Amino acid sequence: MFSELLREDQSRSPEQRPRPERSRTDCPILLTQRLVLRAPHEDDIDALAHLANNANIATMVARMPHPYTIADAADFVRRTKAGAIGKCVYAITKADNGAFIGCCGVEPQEDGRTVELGYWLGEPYWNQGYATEAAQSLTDMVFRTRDVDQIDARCRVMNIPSRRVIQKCGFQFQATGMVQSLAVGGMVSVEWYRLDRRTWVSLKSWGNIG
Amino acid sequence: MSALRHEREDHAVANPGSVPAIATARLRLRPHRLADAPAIAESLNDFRVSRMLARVSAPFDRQDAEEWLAGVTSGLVPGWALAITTGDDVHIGAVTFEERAGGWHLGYWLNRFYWARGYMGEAVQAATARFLMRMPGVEVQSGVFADNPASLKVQERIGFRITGLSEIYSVARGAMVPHVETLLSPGDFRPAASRR
Repeated sequence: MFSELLREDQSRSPEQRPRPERSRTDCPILLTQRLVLRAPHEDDIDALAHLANNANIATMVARMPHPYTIADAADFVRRTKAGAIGKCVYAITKADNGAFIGCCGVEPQEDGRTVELGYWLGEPYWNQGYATEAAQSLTDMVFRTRDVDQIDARCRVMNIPSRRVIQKCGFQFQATGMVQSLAVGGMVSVEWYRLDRRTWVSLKSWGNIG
Repeated sequence: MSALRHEREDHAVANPGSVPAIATARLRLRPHRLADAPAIAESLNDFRVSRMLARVSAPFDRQDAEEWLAGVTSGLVPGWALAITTGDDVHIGAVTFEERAGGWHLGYWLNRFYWARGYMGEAVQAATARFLMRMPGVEVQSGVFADNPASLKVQERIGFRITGLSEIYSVARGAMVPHVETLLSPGDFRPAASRR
């Protein structure tokens, strides 16, 4: 195995050599049945500003300004590219036509053993299973490529569809708490869910039986 | 009311004064407000948290939080009750210094979402440093339930020493629980506790 890698190394340029340790910090493009998850770029700014300028979304997440302008969208894309908003922020796009429909991402926590999952979808794309599809592929990516023990997710107590997404991904209820919401302009009650690696492994192997 | 006032005057000499605001590397500690009741209720209505505390009931609701806040925000009870926030003003835990039987007692808790990040040690260390600045030369008592090694580590890191074992009643568990008693003697405090 090792010798094989060594031989391949010599025939490849340094950029092309397999670097197993890179996958831990990189955010690969993720493909699901109906979606493509990729890094946001400047072409998304118009669609992002259009979909995100919605109080029904902004009041459900912690740090989305409302109203949401073109300038906010451009700033978001710029900060994402600079790596300022955690390591992995994805644009959720439709596989069939490439349309931008929302964002998701994972943010490493300070303990180094946990990442927090976040997502939002434009209102026209709600209730079609897109968020679940994106969250599941992101969850799989995290456990397959990173040395973390668990993934946390938090949603507002009143956000029943989001809680459903978290539950369908196998997360389990932990506790309640409060967080500051930028759009609400105050504290909101949240529920905290967690998926640990062993539960994920168990769920994955369970699904393959039969 | 008048009885409370009278009591306060008795202790006027040994009072750390008003609750300060303290900034640490990652946290902001501030006095409590009545508006913290919902956040406290959310955090303490978690049995994994309340089982490690002596006097917190389970379930713990907003009325319980308001009753506790009424005492600590009244200014009539000597001692400090600091609210822990991550800088956005949302209450995620507390550090308290209470007078009990003539001595000072340290207590603390943190919403479970924020566990395992070194927040508790950072908050307790900063609060104790400020408390000892106002009250030089006092002993601070504390303790942990025997099944809470993480909390004992927080205390040992800043200089607390184990003085004995006892059993005390935990309201949340509804049972007597083995309890490790600790004491921070004057001069034992380690202000530059490393966070790890």
